[in-house]
Amino acid sequence: MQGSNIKRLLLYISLFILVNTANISQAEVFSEHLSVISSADPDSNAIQSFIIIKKGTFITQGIKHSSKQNTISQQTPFVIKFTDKLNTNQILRWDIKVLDKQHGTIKLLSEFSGAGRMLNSGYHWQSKRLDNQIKNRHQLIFRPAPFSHQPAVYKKGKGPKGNRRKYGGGTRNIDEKKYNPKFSYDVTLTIFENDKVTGTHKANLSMDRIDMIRQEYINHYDIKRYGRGDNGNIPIPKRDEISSIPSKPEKLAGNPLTESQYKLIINDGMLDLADKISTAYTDTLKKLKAENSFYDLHKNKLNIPDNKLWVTSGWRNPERNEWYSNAVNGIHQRGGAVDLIIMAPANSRQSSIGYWVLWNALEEKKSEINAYWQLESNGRPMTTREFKQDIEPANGIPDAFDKADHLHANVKY
Amino acid sequence: MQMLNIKFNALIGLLFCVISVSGSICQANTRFIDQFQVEPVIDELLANKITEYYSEDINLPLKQQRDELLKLDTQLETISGAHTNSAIFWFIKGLHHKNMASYYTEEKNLPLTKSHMTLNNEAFGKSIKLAELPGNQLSSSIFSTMKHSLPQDLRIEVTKNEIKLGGNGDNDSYYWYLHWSNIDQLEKAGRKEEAKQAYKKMQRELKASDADMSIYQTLTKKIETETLNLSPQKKFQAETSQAKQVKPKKEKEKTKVYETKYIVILAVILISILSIVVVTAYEVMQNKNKK
Repeated sequence: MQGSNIKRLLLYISLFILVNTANISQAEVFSEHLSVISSADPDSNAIQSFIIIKKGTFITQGIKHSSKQNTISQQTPFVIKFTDKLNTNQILRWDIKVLDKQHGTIKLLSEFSGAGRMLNSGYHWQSKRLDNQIKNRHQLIFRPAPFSHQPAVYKKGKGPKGNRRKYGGGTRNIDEKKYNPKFSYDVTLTIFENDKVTGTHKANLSMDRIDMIRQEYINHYDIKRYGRGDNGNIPIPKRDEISSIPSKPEKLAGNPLTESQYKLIINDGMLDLADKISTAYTDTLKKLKAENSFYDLHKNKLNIPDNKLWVTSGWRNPERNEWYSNAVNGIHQRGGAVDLIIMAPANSRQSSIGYWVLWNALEEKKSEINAYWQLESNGRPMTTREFKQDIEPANGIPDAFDKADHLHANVKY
Repeated sequence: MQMLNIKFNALIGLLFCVISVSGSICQANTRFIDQFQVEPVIDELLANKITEYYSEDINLPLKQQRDELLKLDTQLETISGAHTNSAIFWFIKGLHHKNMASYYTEEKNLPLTKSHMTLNNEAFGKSIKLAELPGNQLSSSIFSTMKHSLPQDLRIEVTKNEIKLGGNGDNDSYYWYLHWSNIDQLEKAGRKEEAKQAYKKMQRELKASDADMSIYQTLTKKIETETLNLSPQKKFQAETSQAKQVKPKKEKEKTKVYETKYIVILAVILISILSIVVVTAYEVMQNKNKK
């Protein structure tokens, strides 16, 4: 009898340890009655989405300029739901904290004060502190007070003298903890009965990777490309505009259109465009090889090397774009642009001929492809003069193709 | 009357300022500093004008272009004495000669095109030599701009410098193509051992970077087969060395955390089972004793 008691006790102890160990890996789920349903951001088309908006910033939604744009307020509200039935003498107290998991540690950033609205009854409440007591309400729309989300380690892309410094800003490797830290809201609900605590429920709403990307766009919203005002800013993508990486066209070698560690992508037409360009290129390559009639500027026959196209860049999240791009190119960040390189040593004769073939292919299929493209060298487009002249080096190939280091193409907006 | 004159002069002055400022805003994208990532050592307006001639389509009649270019030539000559030891100055001078050559090409004047290209190469050569001295550093964009017309040995030097400075960037994979260019040029110059060393350096850098090795294997294979013409055995060695790539640190750490967690859970389960077995055995023993 004594032995079975010890056995039972041991069983309980081991079960207790097991449950607690499991809790380490699932710290977010505390109570089945309390949940943070989602953001109430109506334009993010999200089941779960929240973004922390930079203090005092009003943003315009929508990835395409042509799409319907809505202005959302500087606070993104979310819904807290409590489903357990309460007695009339029970009182609820809400505590909401925003947590920053920067550098692997959880630290309390701020305790929110703000105003919210009860859904079911239409009862409005106003409070300077959120731990005000609320009676018998099941849903609460919580509207966080705005605060700045600017990682401490973020470096602006400016040099010591204020000029734009290449490789100076942003991050090459997106360290989510450091540069775009994940934030979460911890919600605690305490039930009181006759001034005594009768129950505690906890829930957590944590940014997912899509939210983090959207937040990154907000953090970089001030970057101007096409002039001042809203049109000059890079639009903040909606949730359904950010997706998992699809397979790239077979004819293309190279990276999967993004090297971002988010493992997500914004594809606003770049994949389709890359496919069209690679088809045009391979078709022209085949045709010219069959005809064997490709001549240089001095009418000498050229051997056409069989070099594939390689994708060097597609979608670039703002941090990555800031690292790489000489010009702050909005279209790469919108997933509407693709950079292609001839798979040959940079600026070699093979690559020069390859770019010439590629250029001819694009000019031939201009109306089918229906996009903008330009050959670039060192971040600038080649000039008309460089397409005509042959001085560097004088080798029978127009300078534009000798100097080009990639082809940039983007969809028409 | 005098007061009116002062006001008029002030107004003209203000207008002049506004025009100058708006002019510089228009020229913002052809600024020397934006294009080449370093401060020009000479007057900024002069450097910007030369940059504009190099990187923009100039829509002026040919005669006007020639007048402007010759004016720039005189301006450069005037200040050349003060900058003989500046790598950036010689780069700007070389760029100007390239613009002149470009102009004479359009004029179909072959001898003058050639002579300016020779002057361009001489100036770039001086710039590259001076850049080896301390305090004379050039940017990767400058090296990238210089290389196209240079003789092979200088071009190899420039490509190496470009790699050292991280390449001109602008897109994700170009840097590795620059490495390929370096290997290719060394191989073509008959410097085979250097070419192999350059390839090894590239492999080391690739492994140390965050690049997805499965993607870049296509590239390294192409370098081995098409540029270095490595034998199958050597190719095999190179491939196996690639296969032995180390997992990124972060992933390793993550796996470690998971491993520890599962070990703890497993240990708890095992201890529980063991305790139950021990207690049951103890009970059985006691029951036997009672009997």
